[in-house]
Amino acid sequence: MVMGNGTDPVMLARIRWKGTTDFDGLLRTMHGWFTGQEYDFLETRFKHKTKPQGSEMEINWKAWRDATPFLRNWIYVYFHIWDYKDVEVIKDGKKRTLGKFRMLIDFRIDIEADYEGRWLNSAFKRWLLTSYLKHIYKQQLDNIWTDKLWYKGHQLHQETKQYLGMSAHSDVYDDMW
Amino acid sequence: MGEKQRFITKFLSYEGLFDYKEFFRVMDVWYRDKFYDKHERRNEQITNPDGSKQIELEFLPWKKVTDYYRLSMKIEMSVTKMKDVEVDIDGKKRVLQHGLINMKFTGYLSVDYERKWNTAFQYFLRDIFDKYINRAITQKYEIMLVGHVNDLYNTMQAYLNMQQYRKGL
Repeated sequence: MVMGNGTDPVMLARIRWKGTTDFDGLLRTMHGWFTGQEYDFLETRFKHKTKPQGSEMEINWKAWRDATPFLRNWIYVYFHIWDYKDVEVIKDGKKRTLGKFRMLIDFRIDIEADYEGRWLNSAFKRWLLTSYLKHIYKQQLDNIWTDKLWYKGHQLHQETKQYLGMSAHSDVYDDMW
Repeated sequence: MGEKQRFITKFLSYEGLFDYKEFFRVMDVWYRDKFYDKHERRNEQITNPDGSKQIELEFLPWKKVTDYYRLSMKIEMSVTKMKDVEVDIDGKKRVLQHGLINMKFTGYLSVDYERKWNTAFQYFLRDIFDKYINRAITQKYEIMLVGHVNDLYNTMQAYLNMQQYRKGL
């Protein structure tokens, strides 16, 4: 996998889940991960539709972090929630309001090279940039920066699964990078 | 135009007791031991009204063996009717899972995965090179891929068979 143009995110993982949980808590946990990893964060879309069987929501997040003065890491998260209903449950002797819903979460990653646009103001510079990324910097971009971002995204994926109480969770790759 | 060829497919089916987290971990440890990169493409979990869980997973671990050859696998797994059960092992109570596991392991060998040989003529040259000139090397990676898939299959099977003996405990 080679990235570098910042326009074509690569699909990292997809979660489909159905159950009962604190949805706000999930968003807070994931947002907390971005903050902890020093990512800048933007919620680009929040769509909410009330339906008789429960609310439907679509949320898009994008977060970015400047890895070097030349490379910027991007992580995109897309949530789609169906049949969201508030339910009251008693947990540890206390009454709590949780959400019961179906959900899909997509994680995508991308690396943007020359995010400050220093190599874009002439055709020759653009050619130099393309050649540099394709031939000289390719190995480093692919084997170091893409790999690092891949496993960072994987950490977020693991954290999400852990919050949702998904059984398929392991810490074997957690210490990568 | 890179090419991805399927070389081996194996199926595994098991019903009984297992430790799901451990099972998942055994698989991850195997990938990491063999220097595969992890790609958990799909992870679906549904909790049924009776408390049982239904899980579907798809893994696509890959390993770049050279700049030209890449080994990859596709592991599709479905767990149905999974329920927590408490068992007594050596006088200690442990929570294990009981359910039905179905797995499919497929091994792929990708050549020219960086898509450097793109035109029809280059593709022709590349294919001739792979099949006749570089045959021994291509074959080496084919054998390696089949060996890896078999090894993972045996590891998972051994783990599950081991669990069977705990049934009576």
